[in-house]
Amino acid sequence: MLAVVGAVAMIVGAVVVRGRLDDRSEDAGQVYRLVCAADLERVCAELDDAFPGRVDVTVEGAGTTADRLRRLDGDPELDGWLVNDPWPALVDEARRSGSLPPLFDTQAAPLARSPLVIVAWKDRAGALATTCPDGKVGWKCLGDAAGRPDAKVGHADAARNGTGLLVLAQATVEWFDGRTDLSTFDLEDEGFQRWFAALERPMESAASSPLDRMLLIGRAVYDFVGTTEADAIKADNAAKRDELTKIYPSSMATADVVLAVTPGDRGSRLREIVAGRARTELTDAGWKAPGSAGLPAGNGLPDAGLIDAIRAKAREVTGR
Amino acid sequence: MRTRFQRTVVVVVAVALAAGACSTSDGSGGGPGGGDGLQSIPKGCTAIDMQVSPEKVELLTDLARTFNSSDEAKPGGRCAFVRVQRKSSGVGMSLLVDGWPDEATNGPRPVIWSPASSAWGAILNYRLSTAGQPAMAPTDAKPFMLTPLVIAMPRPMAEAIGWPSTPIGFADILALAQDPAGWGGKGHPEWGPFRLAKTNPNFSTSGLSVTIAQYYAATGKTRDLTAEDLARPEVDAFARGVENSVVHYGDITPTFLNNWYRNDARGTSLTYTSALAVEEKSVIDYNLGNPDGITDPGEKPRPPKIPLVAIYPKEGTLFSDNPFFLLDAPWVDDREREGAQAFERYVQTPENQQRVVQFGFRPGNPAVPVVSPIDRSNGLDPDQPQNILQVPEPAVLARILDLWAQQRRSARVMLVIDVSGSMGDPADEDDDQGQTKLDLAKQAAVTALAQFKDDDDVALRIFSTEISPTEPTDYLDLVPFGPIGAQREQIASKIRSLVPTQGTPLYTVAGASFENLRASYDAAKINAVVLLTDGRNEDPRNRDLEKLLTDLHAGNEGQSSRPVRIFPIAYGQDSDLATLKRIAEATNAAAYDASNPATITQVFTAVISNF
Repeated sequence: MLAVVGAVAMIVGAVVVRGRLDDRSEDAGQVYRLVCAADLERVCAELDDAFPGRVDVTVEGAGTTADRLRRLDGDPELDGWLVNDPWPALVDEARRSGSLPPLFDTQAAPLARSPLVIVAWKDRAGALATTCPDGKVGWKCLGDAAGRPDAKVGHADAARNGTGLLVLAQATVEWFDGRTDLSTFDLEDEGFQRWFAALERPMESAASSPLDRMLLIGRAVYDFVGTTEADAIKADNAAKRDELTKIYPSSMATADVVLAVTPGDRGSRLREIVAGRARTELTDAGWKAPGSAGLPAGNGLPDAGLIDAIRAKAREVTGR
Repeated sequence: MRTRFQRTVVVVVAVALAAGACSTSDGSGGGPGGGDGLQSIPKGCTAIDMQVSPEKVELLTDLARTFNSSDEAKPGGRCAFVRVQRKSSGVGMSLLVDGWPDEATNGPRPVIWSPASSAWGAILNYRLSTAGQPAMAPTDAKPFMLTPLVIAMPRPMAEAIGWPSTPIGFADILALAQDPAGWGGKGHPEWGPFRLAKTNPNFSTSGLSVTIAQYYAATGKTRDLTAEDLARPEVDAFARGVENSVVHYGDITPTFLNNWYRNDARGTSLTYTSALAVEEKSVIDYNLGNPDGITDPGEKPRPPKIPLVAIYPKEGTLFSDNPFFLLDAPWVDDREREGAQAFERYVQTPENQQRVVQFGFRPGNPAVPVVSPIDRSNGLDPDQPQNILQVPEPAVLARILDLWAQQRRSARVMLVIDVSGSMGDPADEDDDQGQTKLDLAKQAAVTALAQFKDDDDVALRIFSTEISPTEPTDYLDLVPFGPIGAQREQIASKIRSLVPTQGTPLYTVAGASFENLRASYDAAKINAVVLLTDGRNEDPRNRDLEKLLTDLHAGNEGQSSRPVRIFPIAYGQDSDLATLKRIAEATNAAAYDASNPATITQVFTAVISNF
């Protein structure tokens, strides 16, 4: 009897081992396709180096990826997308309204988050503060000051850049006194539209990051730049760091990085391979773990549909 | 019929080829591979060829040297070897549009292209797209280093218009350039008219930038310049007014800076040029006594008597951002890409970016501070500029170049061609039955005629000993001055019929041509002689070079002078380039080297870019 049990166990064990070997040999030949948002470029480069031959990383602006995917009726040529939330949801909502199936698996938990901040030259912030309500510089005040030569405002292109759109969404929330439950009808408010156009019309379309340009070129190009706290570490390391300050707008909001994967095995496998390493690299790049002290429970931003409407409005104003 | 835009493109391409084959008297043009020797590649290494704008060639050569011997040059255990070649930005752009032809003449196809400004990448991509080809310059290239466009002026002149306490703008400078009272209106009649110098925007980034700034000044805008703005009559009139105040054009700013420096040594810098749009870095180089930024063997930098100062235009200015374009070109493979990325990482390190600052550029790494030599002791203000002008969209940039070809100052040029007996020698010494030097020169001259605009006055003179039966016997005027639009074919026909004759009375014809133009000087135009010769002076009746040079100097100096530039082309191996350079420098011009007769068409084209 013992011999029989032993033989059965051996057979079962052999089958299991063989199955695993088959899985590995199948997986060994697979190259998973990760599209990585350009504003996470440093993390993307690390992931590219970390999984040679297993993960093919394509770096692309979030807007470019979104525009390609929202009407695509075929192979999306990706297994996952590392990008700020809610870009994947924004794509899937657009697809649903076009009677196309969603591309991404159910809501992905953020891998990391970073508060949205405004990096400013101290002297410019000091001068502007005197004209702002309660003496505090924020997005509403910046939009009101747009056009002043000492209040040149920048954020990455909201139509193309993963972070740029979130910054603009945060600014919009601040104009509406912190409300995140906004409707597209709210965006038709005439006062808002004037403020929005004043803020966005001068926005540069330069490919390089506005913060990089601000730190390199100085006050000639930007006095205030909206970005993530993680990105703002560059300001902490800049030669002119003593002349710079970080402003946390009154409507606290965060950029959340997600790894959105396609439904099915390939997406799941990509998540298994990449998620942990991505989390580590994001942390090294100054991002925080969700739930870290000082971070809000939510991202402080409107839903994906409203953010898409903000993007469309930015495109109307800038013509891009 | 060829459109103006097509004509501009043709000129740019032709000039591009030319600059690949010639060098100016200051040695800073773009020779084959920029005139730099091409290093051999160590065994087992991958060549990473780089074509860079002239002002940073010394810095990048230095960085490449240290990189090549470092561990960073072995990404993935493989060896990369960076070779740096000089190519002016506009020339590089045009060569890339054409797929970088003729590597023997133009240098190796680049893996990395680093023009002075990313605007050139935008123009490249635009021109490729209009030709139905994919973009080549990545749009996310990072700046390697920065330098703003400034207006360089001699310090006393800048002070006379309120520097440093009064903000000065492009509009102020351009208005002054068009004021008939000139410096007299500022209490300095002894300085004569306000003389503005500009480089050709088809070649030079500072030329392109200042032309963009002119249009902004004309419209009162600082961003969103459109093609419709450019077409407005008052904008056109403004642009033409500015161009009419230009001394002459040049392919690169070092031509002017070297001449300015030579004038400073003679005490005439204030009457040579009043203002020149240059990159901030060039002001440092000039004030340190190295006006072209390239230290030639034996050159000992000595500060000028009158330094330049940088005016940061109050309306804003443009930055040269020196991108590293790792080209999306079919000739770039993965190993080259890997090596190029390693070099790009290397130059961005703080210690190498500190070297960038030592060379007078602002760093491309914000962690590195802007320190000396970018300081007030060199006439600069590190806290400036306070505003920038937006780089227009590529289609608008292309339109600006197109319009410039029509709006530029008209020229009055005498083409003087050597028809001495040696011009009948074979152009290729190894091919007795091939074309003669004169054959090639004739073709080149005829081709170059297409670059003049219709209202340029052009005359044709040939010279050789006793070529004329009547006095003066050493030269013969085949076509008198007249608008070339009406006599282009007549000049071409005369050129085609030229035959070689006797000796080379170089000094006599140079002096006589100079005097002829001075006698019939047209103040509304650039007055110049293009002198093509394959030999040295062979005239026993006139061997006095020093007298010729003295006369040329005298004719170009003083506030009431009627400046006539002589642009000699040293043609063939036997030409006397050293003497021709002295003749050019005596008239604040530049000599061109076509010692390889096969390059004469290209060189001729480059010479005409001065007009």
